[in-house]
Amino acid sequence: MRAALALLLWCAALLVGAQPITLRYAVTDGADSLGVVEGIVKEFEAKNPNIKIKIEPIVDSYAQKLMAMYAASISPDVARMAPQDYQPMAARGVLLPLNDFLRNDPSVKLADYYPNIVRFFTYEDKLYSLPREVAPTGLIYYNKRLFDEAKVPYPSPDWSWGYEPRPAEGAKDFTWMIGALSRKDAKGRTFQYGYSSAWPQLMLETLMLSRGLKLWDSNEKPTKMMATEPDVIDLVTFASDVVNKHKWAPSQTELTSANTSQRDLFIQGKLAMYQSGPWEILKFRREMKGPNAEWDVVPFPAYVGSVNRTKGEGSGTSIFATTRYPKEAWEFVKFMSGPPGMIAMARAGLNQPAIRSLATQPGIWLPAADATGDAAKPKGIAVTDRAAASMVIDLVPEYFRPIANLCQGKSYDVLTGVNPPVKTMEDLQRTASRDLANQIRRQETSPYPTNIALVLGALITIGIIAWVYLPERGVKFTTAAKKENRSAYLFLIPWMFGLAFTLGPMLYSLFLSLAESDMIKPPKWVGLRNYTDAFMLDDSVAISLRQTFVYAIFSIPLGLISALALSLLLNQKVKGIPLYRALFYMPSLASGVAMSLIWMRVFNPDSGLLNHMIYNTWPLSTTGFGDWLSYMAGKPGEPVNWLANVKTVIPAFVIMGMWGAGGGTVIFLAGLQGISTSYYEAATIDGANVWRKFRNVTLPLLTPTIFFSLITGIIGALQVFTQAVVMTDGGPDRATLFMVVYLYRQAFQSLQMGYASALAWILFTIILVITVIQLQASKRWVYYEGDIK
Amino acid sequence: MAKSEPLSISAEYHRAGRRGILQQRIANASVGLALVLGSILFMLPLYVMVAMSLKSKEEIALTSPWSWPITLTFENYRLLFIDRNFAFWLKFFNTLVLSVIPTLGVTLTAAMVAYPFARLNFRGRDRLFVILLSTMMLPGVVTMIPGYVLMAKLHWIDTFLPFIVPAFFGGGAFNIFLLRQFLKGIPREMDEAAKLDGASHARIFWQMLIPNSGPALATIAVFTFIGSFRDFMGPLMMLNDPNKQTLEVALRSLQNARGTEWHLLMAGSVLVMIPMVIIFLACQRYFVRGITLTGGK
Repeated sequence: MRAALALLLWCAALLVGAQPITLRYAVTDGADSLGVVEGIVKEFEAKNPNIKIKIEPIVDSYAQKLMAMYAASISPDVARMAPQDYQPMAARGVLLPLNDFLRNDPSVKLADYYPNIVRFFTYEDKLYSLPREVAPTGLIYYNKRLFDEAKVPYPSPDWSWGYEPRPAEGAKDFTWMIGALSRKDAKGRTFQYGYSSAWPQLMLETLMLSRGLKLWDSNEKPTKMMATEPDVIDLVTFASDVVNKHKWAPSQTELTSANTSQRDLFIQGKLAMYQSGPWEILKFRREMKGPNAEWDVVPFPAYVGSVNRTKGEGSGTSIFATTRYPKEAWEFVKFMSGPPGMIAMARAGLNQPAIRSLATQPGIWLPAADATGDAAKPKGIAVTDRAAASMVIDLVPEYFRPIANLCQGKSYDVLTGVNPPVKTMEDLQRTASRDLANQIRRQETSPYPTNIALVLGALITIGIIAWVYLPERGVKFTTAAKKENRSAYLFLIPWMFGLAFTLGPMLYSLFLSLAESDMIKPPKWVGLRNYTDAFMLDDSVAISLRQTFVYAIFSIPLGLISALALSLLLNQKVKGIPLYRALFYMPSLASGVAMSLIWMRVFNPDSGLLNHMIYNTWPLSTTGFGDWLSYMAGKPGEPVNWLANVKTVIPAFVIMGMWGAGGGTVIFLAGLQGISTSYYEAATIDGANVWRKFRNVTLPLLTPTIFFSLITGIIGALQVFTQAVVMTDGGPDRATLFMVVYLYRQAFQSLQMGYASALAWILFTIILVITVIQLQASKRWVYYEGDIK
Repeated sequence: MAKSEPLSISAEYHRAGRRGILQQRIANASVGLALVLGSILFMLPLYVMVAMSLKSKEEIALTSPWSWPITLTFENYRLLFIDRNFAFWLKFFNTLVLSVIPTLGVTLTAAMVAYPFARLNFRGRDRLFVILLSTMMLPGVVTMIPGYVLMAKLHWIDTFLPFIVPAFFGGGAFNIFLLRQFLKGIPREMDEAAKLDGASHARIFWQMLIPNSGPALATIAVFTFIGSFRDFMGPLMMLNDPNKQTLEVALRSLQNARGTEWHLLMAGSVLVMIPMVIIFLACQRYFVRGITLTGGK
């Protein structure tokens, strides 16, 4: 008997032991690379039957979702990690250091990896991510045909750059080449550019690095901004001139509004030299065809007389500290960030391996010896090894990240020519120095008084209930009224339950607004400091409030009137009216991303539809309206660059908003149906005309709907967000840095959730005050037929 | 007596007799013209979307976005349908579930909650109403993570529950407010009479008010359906398993670090839009059913 039981237990133990465990693996991969990752995972599962891997692709807001998951204690076990994402997590103990595994596992030798990528992933002497790929961004791809046509020799690997072109140096001078390879039409407009980096800041950052300059004093412990040093100003002016004065490189705003990219220009043969990372090679092999089929790659030039220093990126695989299966997770990390994963990704042309011997062995990342045609390109691919070995990354302490972000933003402004470079740098010096002082001061905090917060929370809740209930306590009710009171609350039950889902998080954010918090470490008490900072120190708050109100003041009445007018039009009894209604509503249904991309084309200064109608189409073109518009926009004689001009970007947003009038129209249409036909009959008998009927019947009976549209319109307009993030990213020069855009940045880019919450509650208070005033005023102009008279 | 059309310009002149025939024609023509011109203007961005979805990748790179495709191709649509990661039908089904059920919940419970706010007297009504409105006023950015943590504590992450359950709890301030406005506009005579006959509030709600709020209910149903169908941030945060994901999130994966797949993105956007247009057309019938309570029809 006992033996049988033991046997049974043993069997059970065996069953439990054989049960495969599942690791959740978060990746950013989308359409093009997910298949390869799945292949690697399958291979791993075949070799490790006791481990299953569940891939969780996160196609957007990657760091943000990982943060939310961690806050909710449901992090994945393993995740793909980029250097800029891992550091805040490592600093907060979210990730497991890998050093113990490495010490006990001789199969992984860190010495095999590129030393700089290992250094990127090392935080306070511990490694937090095993590198899988290196991505040096100091690579310059060039189109040989454009060089041949301009009779410019191909770049020599030991070339350099200086502030002045040196034609005598020929193949060794980058600056001369950019100019010589740019071509302009009769109007002085560039149709072929000499050089561009894949994104604007990359150019400036690479130039700074190779010149040995920084915007701040030290990477280890920045305490001082150096944005106005003469050397920095010289360099920034040079970079700005390349784009804005000589027009040798395309500006980002031009490209965005033309819905093209630096990469597309290069593929189409309109750009001679393109600076980017190794991930481009796959696409170029596929898409550089016909006249552009001859291309190659060289490393970014060094500054005259100095060594080669360029930027780089990469990615690795990290383990979350919360995993229940660290051993199994390590097995998977070793596989994904070891030869099997690297070889698969490299053969697919996606990643340059982080293990140097794999990156330099033909047939993996380098083309096989017998490769022909496009697969054998580019001839100079071996320079990716040199570029990876010379890449540098600026790791700055946690408190400096918001300022580093600010510097990025200002670099962008310099290169898009929003303001003259000197002014931008002076502005940066001032703002960043103040922010830096704040950040250093913010380090001093005290622990959050959780108990007091709980008591306060309870008091607020009791206070709200008392505020709702007490004022009418003294009112005497009849029996019928008591019954009505009781039924009313019965009807409200579902909503009261639902309030927990909304009021709970709202209260939480109210408490957070009194704290310094990144949602990961326990919040630190700062009292009202977030609020005082917002009003006294941070000029972005005032600017974003002002811009939000400017937008609201134009968009609310326009939206209201156009929706009302449309609804009257669509209420006509005309053939095919259901179809017309659908046509007017359809722009509000389309995917936001696709619509934003299309609108950017509409607003393009040169080829956009809007400017075409204003400047080139009768009758508007004959009225001088375009000239007046250009004059008002501050650029006489130039077509208005709607989204890149501080003065026109909000009007552009308002115009775009009109296409969303369909939603409001539907509400007004429903309101019009609610008006009883008998009123119109009575009015007809009295001999009223269309206008009188509208004025005396329709409008008064529509006031409840107008009131609704007004209130929700105000709330919506003051929280305007999406377009500004997708289309202009808060720019130009903070013109679309609306309140919610700004607090979103504070929350998720600078990880200052406490400050973001304070900003949100400031906005909340403003909206609440406006709404309460509206509610009071509504008693005078809103007419409800159902009110007891 | 001629049947009255609410504020119809053409009907107006119709009654004016023979003298008005010319004016009636002019009025008709101007309404027609406004409708045609307006819809052309409104359809312009969508024209670009459809035109691009029917161009090959190469043609998009070379031609103006405003041009109609030189060679029409349905290849982009075919590619989306066979793409294993895009998995159109699976994601369409998920999206449909995540839209239909909340729509039912919202339409049902929003009316229920709106009723007392609109037509009953109870202690604290106006102040509760301010609280209701205030839930719309705090930017979602700062409540997102606490909300996420709450869902995780309930073990609702990676399930459809975060979308379904709250929909049955009144369906949000926007919808309640909209319905309250409509219910307040319905004349009192009938339900006052019913009250005198001893009808309960539940009966008045169900038998008098619901049948007369067709247009408003249809409006919030359409809004909720479309809002859920297009939701991006919600599914992106709450769902982990790609097989549970929705179309809008799948669409976003066509934009990545290696550039936007324009041809696929536009084709996908058109595909996502079609079901919403169908729903809108199907619900139109209910938009035009006005009050029958006191109407003279």
